[in-house]
Amino acid sequence: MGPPDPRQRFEEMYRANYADLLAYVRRRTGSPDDAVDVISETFTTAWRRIDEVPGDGQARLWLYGVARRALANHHRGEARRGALAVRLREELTAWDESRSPEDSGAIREAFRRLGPDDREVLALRSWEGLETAEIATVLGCSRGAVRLRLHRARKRLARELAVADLDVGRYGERALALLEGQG
Amino acid sequence: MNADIDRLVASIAPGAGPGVTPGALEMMDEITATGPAPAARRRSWPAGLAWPSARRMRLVAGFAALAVVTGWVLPGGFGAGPAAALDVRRSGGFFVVVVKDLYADPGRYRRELASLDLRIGIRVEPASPSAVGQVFVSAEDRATARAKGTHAVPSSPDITAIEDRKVCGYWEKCTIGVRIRIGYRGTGEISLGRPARPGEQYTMPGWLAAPGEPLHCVDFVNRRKAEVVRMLREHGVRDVTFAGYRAPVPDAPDSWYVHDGVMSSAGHALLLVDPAPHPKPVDVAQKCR
Repeated sequence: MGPPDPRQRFEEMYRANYADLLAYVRRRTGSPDDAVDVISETFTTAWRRIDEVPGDGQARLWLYGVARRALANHHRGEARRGALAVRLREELTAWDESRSPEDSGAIREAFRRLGPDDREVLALRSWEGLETAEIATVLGCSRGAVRLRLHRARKRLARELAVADLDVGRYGERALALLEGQG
Repeated sequence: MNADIDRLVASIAPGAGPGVTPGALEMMDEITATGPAPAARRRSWPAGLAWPSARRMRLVAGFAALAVVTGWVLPGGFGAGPAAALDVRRSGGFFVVVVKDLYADPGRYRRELASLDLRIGIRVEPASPSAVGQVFVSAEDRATARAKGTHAVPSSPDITAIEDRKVCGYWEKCTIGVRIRIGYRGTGEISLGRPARPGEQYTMPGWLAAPGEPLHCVDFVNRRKAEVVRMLREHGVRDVTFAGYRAPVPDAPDSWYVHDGVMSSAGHALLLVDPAPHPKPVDVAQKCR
């Protein structure tokens, strides 16, 4: 038996990680069009570099890293075209429209006011549910740097929340304690 | 307290999206057809080209060489009698099916398969001269595969190609027949290349260097675009379209390298071009031995 067929490997990786990658990209793009472009570019890169994609459950982190770069480099002019792109956009748009409008409350506003680096490290922790070491892999930095960045980002978010005069009963006493402790 | 902040952030997570949709699976197929992975076998073509055969190849070939994609050695005697379009023999619990009459009415193939109590479909598709007689065997028909939202066709011991080691054009082996288990009640599909009518788009395109094609045994791979276009013109090919790995490149510079090429209809070639030479070019001379 030789090494696994690259297509078979890719298919297994794609099926195992597509939903997570779509979530990652969807949460960081403003429109279905951008999401389709970026996720397409991410997996196209993965296919072209299939030999470099790590196994042992690390593929998802590797893909997040590729998606991060794709998001950073994404230009609207490079939009994916063709019937399939239209179909994918329709699928995403239909999904968006089937949901109730998202709450644009104080937390979301406070989060938006953070810098992109702060938002990314907090989102990797809370949206993708990554541990410190996993975040370090995605961002290509040390665990210590991740811990520091998380600490600072949480502090900044806490300050933004304080500015927003958030409802303690709604968001928890411990969060308030955090705000006061940093005040 | 970290946990509280993290929970607040989690509470505003935008939705994850619809997950693996049919469109997502189609994109998977398209991606694996748009550019070869370094270690992958080269038989793929870029997306964005209205080229049904590429999709058909992916459908039939699946992802793990699950079905067989090969050439076809015709048994002697085209139209060897109106009685049967197919030659069917029984051997060890299997039907061994060979196409006897390449030009038969498709209905005759179907009727003959149905008379064996088989649900195997057969499609006859317009093919480039070198692809006439090529056969693709799949254990599942396209409609079934599509309904399941996948193009990957699982292999089946019930319906398989019978191969010869002879090299057929681009392919490394020739299919000389199809073996179907007697009593098989599952689906399957056989695609067979027929000569195209004038002006008809090939759904089975022919590799440029294959026998019967304009650049038969000409080592065109990794030559500059302008040179290959000139060679094609010398052989009467007037229309040439250019594709890159990710999209059509109608204005590709003359200095780009040709990685691959097919005839997509009579007098119309499609070239896969790239700014850099292909690192592992197909050895045309070896294919011509």
